[in-house]
Amino acid sequence: MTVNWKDTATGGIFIAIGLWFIVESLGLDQGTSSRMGPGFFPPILAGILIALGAFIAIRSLGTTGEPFGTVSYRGVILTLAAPVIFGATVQGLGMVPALLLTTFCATLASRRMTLLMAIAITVGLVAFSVLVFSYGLGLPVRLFGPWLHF
Amino acid sequence: MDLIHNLGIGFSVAFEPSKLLYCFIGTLVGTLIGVLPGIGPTATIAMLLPLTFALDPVTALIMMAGIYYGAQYGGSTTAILINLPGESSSAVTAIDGYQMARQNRAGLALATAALGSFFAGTVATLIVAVAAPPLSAVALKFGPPEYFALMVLGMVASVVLASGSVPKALAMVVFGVLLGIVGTDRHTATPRFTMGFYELSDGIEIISIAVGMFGITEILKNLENETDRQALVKRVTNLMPSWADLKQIAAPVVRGTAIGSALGILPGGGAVLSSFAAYMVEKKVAKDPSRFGKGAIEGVASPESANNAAAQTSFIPMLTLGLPINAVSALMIGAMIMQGIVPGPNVVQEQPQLFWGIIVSMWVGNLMLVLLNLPLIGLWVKLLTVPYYVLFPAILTFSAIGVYSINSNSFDLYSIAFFGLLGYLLIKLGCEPVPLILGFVLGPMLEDQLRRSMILSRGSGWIFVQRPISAAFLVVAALVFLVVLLPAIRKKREEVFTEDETA
Repeated sequence: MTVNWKDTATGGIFIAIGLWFIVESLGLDQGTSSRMGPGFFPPILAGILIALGAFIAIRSLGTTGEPFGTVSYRGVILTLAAPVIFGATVQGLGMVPALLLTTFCATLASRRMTLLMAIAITVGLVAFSVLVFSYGLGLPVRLFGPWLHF
Repeated sequence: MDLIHNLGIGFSVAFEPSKLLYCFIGTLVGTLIGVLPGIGPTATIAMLLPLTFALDPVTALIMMAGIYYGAQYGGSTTAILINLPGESSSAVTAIDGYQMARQNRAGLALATAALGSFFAGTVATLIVAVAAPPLSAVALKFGPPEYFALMVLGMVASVVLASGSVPKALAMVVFGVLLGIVGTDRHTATPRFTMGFYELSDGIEIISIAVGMFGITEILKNLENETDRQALVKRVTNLMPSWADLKQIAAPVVRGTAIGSALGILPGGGAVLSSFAAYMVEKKVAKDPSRFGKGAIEGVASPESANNAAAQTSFIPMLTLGLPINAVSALMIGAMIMQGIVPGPNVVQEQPQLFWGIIVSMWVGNLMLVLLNLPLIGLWVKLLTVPYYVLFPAILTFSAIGVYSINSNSFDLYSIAFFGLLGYLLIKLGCEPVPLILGFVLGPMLEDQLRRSMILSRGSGWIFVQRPISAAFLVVAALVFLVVLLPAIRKKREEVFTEDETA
């Protein structure tokens, strides 16, 4: 039998999300239909989501779908890492070093980037950001943070 | 004479120097992102949201609106010059616009698009000014059941009119509503679905979802296969249309404007749907339909007028009802809420400065766009070929700073990475993020109106059917839904959207 695995997975994801919301609603007060509590509406929605997920998953059996398509794993990892790095370092290192790391990480997400180009873009962007956000818009973030004060 | 008085208020607001400046910035940024590869108005507005907190609400909304319709303009430039629609609403423009460019008529195509858009923008602005106050007066009479039914109708319609699979889009709306009610329950102050994160007690930030699902996801999609863009035309000349050209485009522009103004109000595909419909109509009324696809000027004039008219009238539901019908208006409503304005029919009465200021600024913005686009076309042509690997680190860096600046909270940055990954996965599985953000914005309102209705009716669900207006909304919603399930219509709908995508 042919199965459109992409849709099976999609249905599964929606079912899982729906189940999670139902489990989380269990501890909430349902209230009555005239005075709905915080736990009244969410399980109804989650039920609809599960039904839709099941429909998508069942419909995927016996059909063929398009392939998942190419994914640039390097792109995904480095692009998602950039905001995480900024979040993790901005308070400790301060804006300038945190941005240097973040931007450098972001530039490397492209397979076509050369090292020289990456450094040039990073330096340019960080200088621009500090000028605009720190001096121009007066963003209250320290340029160099406590981790750098020995 | 009310209209003239009201437009007077609007003009006095829109012509304040600071408003003119931000209207200009908005249209400039909009054109820029319309021309630049791989970044759309939704992602841009999401990333600029944090910066708009420093502005007063009118200025902020004027700038966001400018980005939206500016992007429609910029998108047509790339459609004509490199056969790549910068925005999906310009997809049909590429068919004949690119052929015109190959025949050395790029200047004429660009001028047609700009003039048609300006005409459409002017007419549609007037339509908004005339139609919005009576509509909001009607909406003021709506009670909770009517609002609930209207939101259900809006969500169903947006799903049906959007491209892609209907069950998946419905699931995304419902998922969006669930994400929207994460946080402290407003009626009982009970925290819900926060997984113990105190950062979630005020709910998920709209910016985390918007930047993650539109900004980051867009980047990940573009990194799949990176290619350079080549502009067909290095120098654009002959911008001035001749008298004969003007006569030829007059009727298509008027038809496109009418189609766009009407379809723009519909939730979901407003601008995209209208440009496609306008193209089909031109093909039908043309004496020689075989010219289409080979550089017919009507094929540029009509869809470009239609998508710009639709971009303007799509603000009607947002301004009069407080209901978003596309991702951009969802973000603008998010911005209004964060600025302390309750979106809804009261805005016209309570905030005339805001309401009329925005409407008049749309017209001013359209005028700026003509002045910005035609003389500066050489600059835009150069920007067309900016390589993507230079662009996206800037997008990432600015959005990281922007998101952090709202709450000075690292949690928001981890959220954009999370929603970026989730959004990318869902897109790869064929689920578009637009219905999700609509559901997210509407979610809290939907639950609130449901609860109020049930208090009114003492717990009886019949209230939605007994009140005529809410019953009518629900019947229309059911009809729209059933119609899509009919095999014949479903097939036609699939054809429409596949043609749209491959165009």
